[in-house]
Amino acid sequence: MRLSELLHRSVVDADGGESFGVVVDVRLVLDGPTDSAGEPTYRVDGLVVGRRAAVARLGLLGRDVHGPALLVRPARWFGGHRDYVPWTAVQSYDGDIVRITGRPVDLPVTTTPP
Amino acid sequence: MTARPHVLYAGLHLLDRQLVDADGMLAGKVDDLELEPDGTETDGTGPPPPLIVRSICFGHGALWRRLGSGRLGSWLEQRHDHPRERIAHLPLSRVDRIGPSIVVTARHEDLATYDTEQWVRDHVTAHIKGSTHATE
Repeated sequence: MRLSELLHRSVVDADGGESFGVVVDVRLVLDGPTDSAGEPTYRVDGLVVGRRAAVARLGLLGRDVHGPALLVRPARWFGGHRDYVPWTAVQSYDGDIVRITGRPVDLPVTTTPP
Repeated sequence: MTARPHVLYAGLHLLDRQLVDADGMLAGKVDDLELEPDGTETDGTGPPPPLIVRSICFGHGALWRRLGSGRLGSWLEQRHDHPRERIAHLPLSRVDRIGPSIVVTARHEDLATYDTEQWVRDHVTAHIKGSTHATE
């Protein structure tokens, strides 16, 4: 499947009764199985869930903006709230819906972006 | 040894990033990522297996698929993936560096993103008076 097929899917609980937003980004960790060159591959660690996908693409991940002070408040307002769904909590991803067990958690602390 | 960050956000750090070839030439943008199950056996009733990033996708086909036109995109990608055509996917093992730009171990002339540049050169620039033999 393509990354673009995963983005923008609605994230709901296992019963489909509660919506948590849409997939705005996907967190990758470099600890997957080794490839043909013997190097680790990127594994999908989890899904970033929010309401404003376009803003996430601008890098406005809300709580990750620490300064300058003039930008912190607008960035957090525009960025909206972000949650995180570890891949282990994903129950299924059929059609346009990702069903998860439990509730989203706080976004992991990010490392320095490349 | 390639330079890759341990943690990435795919949409933020990979999608639409500039591709740079082995010679430092600009080679288009990353349009999508190919994900696939990591090979973990499941019985089909439990949670889905973990996904890994298999390759980066670029060119008209990948972009059309991303924009929602799956049939046209697939056709364009298959056309490019013919052995004598240009490449529309690169496995992650051919990505040399991930940073502000994505450096790949391929020549930009071999990638599907080169199509537009070649078309403009052949059909537009070549017909402009004085566009050839510039050094003579």
